[in-house]
Amino acid sequence: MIDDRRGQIGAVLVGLAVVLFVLPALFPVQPVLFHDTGQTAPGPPAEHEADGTRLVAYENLSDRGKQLYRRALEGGGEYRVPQGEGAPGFEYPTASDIAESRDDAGDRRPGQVVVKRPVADDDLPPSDERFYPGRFEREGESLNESEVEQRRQQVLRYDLMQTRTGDPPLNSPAQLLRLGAVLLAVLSLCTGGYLLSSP
Amino acid sequence: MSTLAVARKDFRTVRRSRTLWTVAIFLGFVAALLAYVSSGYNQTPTEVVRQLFVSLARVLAILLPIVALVASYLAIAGERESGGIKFLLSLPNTRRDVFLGKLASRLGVIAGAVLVIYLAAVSVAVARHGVFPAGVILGTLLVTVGYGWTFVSIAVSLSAAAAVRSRAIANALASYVVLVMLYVFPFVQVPTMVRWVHTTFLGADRSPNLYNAVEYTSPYVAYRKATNLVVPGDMRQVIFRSSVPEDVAPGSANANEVLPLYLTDEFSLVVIAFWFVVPLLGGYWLFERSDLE
Repeated sequence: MIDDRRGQIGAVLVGLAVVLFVLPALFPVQPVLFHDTGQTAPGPPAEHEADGTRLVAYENLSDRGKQLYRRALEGGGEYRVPQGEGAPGFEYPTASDIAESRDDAGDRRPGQVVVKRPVADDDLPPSDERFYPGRFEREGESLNESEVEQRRQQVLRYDLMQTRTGDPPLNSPAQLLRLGAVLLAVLSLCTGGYLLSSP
Repeated sequence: MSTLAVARKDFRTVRRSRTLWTVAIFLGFVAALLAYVSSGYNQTPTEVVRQLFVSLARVLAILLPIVALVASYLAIAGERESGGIKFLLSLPNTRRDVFLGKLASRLGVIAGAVLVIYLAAVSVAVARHGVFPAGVILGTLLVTVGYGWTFVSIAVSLSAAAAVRSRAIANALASYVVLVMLYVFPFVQVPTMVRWVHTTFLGADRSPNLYNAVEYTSPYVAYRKATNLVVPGDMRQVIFRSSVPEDVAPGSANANEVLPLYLTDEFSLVVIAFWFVVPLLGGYWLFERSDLE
């Protein structure tokens, strides 16, 4: 009777393990669309387009584009949405697309867009471009305080955003759920196997 | 038929070992976590998963021999010390049946453990990256099972040669140190020692091919070379860099082809087969002649 019960529990655990092994593989983690404003434009605004980076005025972004840009700024520099929920005007290259464009040494930078912010929009979260005043001194320019402030305003006005397609981070629920299922499958398989084997 | 009966009985007994199931859980977790953190800068999902299984093979190169030796070192010595061998041989079983039956059972155990490890890694890898590069996965699985089996063969043979448990433990430990550890840690590696004896003690000129040939006697090194046979050319590990001529890039596709035959990736199959067959012959020979009283 006891043996039967151990055997039954063991068989159920092995069956559960099979299901838990197969399910994550049948439903892989779906890539998400990243909007990352954390990067800083490498050159002065005039060079953006020459540099292969698309320059778009905030007013010219689609409503969804505006919304995603704002959410990225509000979210500390990054905002992710499922595939199909991106903005129509944004490109979402994969990591290998970006690598290919670098290998080709082309003048395009897929997924990079510089958003030209309006001069006065109190509702828009502040730009997260970083301004390095020391850079001008290194380049041999000597600027007075008002000129530095002018440059700072200019840098902050042109905010670089990288949009791309990628896997959600490892601590995202979608990833953790699948890992948990497989760990549980291993535990279930070995416990079930032991119960089926032991007298 | 008796061999099969011994194998079945032994497999039933081994399956009841809580320690082995615990080890399987541990290795399954290690494989799942390794697959979980697998990623590659600017690599396609297929390349990431292929790289994962090469990395998994590197981890198993160290851990799998421990599992195989622990699972097998008492296969026959345990029966001899407990007296169970007399019961086994009192049935219509010959020593050959006992030896082969025990071997078959332990080979099955290790194959099962490797399967659990691969199930966990494949499941997480497919869930994370959505691809299943069958060639690399099945290829490394086969090579890994073969590698595990060489250590089962070694452990069962040493177990057959040992009359008591303590001797069997010492044999298993020594075989791991001599065949794996001495090829892993820098400064105390077998090739380094051979080079010192050859150049400093004997005063001979450096001979990289000789040192690499000595290094290639380890099943650990042979396993790493054998994984090169089942991965794309650009993922091959360069093991014997010092034997590659200067005009050939070590990581290039033909770096393996310019090596002497006895250092090529293909020769790893000979080394693995040697470590599977020769210990068995020696172990069986000693078991046949041992006094079991």
